[in-house]
Amino acid sequence: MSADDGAVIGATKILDHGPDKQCWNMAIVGDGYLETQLPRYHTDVDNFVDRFLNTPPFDSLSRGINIYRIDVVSVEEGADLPVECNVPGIYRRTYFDATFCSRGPGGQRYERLLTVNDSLVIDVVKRFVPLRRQVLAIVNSSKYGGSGGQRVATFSTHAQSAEIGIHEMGHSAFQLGDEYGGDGTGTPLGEPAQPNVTRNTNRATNKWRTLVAGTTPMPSACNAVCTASACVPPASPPPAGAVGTYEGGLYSECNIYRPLPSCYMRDYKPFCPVCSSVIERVLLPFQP
Amino acid sequence: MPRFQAEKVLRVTFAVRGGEVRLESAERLEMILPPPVGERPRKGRNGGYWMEVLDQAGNSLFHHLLDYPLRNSAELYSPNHIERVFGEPMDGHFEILVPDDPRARELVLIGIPPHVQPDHGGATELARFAFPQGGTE
Repeated sequence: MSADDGAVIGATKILDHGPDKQCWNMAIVGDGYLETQLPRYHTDVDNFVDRFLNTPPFDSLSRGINIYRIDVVSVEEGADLPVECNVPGIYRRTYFDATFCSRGPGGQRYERLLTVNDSLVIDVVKRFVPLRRQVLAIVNSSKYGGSGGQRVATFSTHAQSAEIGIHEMGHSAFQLGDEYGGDGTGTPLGEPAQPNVTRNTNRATNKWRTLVAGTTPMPSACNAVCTASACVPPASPPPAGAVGTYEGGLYSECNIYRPLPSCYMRDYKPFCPVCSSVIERVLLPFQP
Repeated sequence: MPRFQAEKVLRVTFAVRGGEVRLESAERLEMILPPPVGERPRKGRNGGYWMEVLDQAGNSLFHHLLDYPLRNSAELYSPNHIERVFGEPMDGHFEILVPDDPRARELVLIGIPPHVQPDHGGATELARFAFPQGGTE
């Protein structure tokens, strides 16, 4: 369940666009891979990197990005799935202690909450990539799962789990907020600090007003499931793909607005133009 | 836009224990630091979490938005659905990159106190730290 359960082999710069001090540097580690499975780990990393670099707007910003793959092997493959979620429980000796069914806030366990020992991950990464911007951990399990965090985003090798890693980068690297709704638990009363969610539908003062066409109604759409809302429905719906203010976001269905109906920060669809512009603003200083 | 030049930057690591935050280490680096994301948020007006770098007069030199640094929430994923759950803070760490500005005197963490429902008010000051001066770690 720790560093005694494997070994750090080394690091390879698999995407090299220049000196680390001039680039935005990502480090990827693996957990739950046997030494004989390193070729599979390399393929898993390549698959994620392909997906990441083909996700707009990263596809047009890759010349400022470096990516390191750090090879770490474990005594056993896979990840823990404790008895609280799966009788009789599965326990694997892996270097970073990857665990499904991790505890969330308040101590409750969630089966798909897949975590690693993030302090140990950071200790390893900083030996090879001291100028890291984003750290990802890929866990050798086909079971769906993942987690976010300020320092390490974790996801399994399930085909759709990579989306978790990209969504989490939206938070940790680009400071984006969640665009999905909910029952209002966790929604702040004031104007959200995040650049992609708002309470303000005034086209003259809205925080993403430069991306809103003069012909797009504001608000652009009210949430039909919301019965307690100040949202006034537009006379006619906006054109498809028009940036505006669409009701529902930041854990509330009512009175919070997002820029488009869909976005990676809501439902894993392509990043909306507002989120894309934030990502571009962060990554532009690294472009040659 | 021309490529920015690397500058002196601090990576500051904070530890969270029982909802309390302490500055654990600071590492001096030379790297590019992008401009802050979004308009500068304000205490009492904005919701969310952020860290501000203040000068001696209390003027803000830099801000960085944070995603639940007190670890009192977690995202739960499904292939076609995401939700966030809230509860008692978990122990852990978070880190930020800030300019190693000689004018900087304090780091201030602003957000919602861990035992207050976020929908009960605006963000407030949660913790204040002396800006790390000199040396590494």
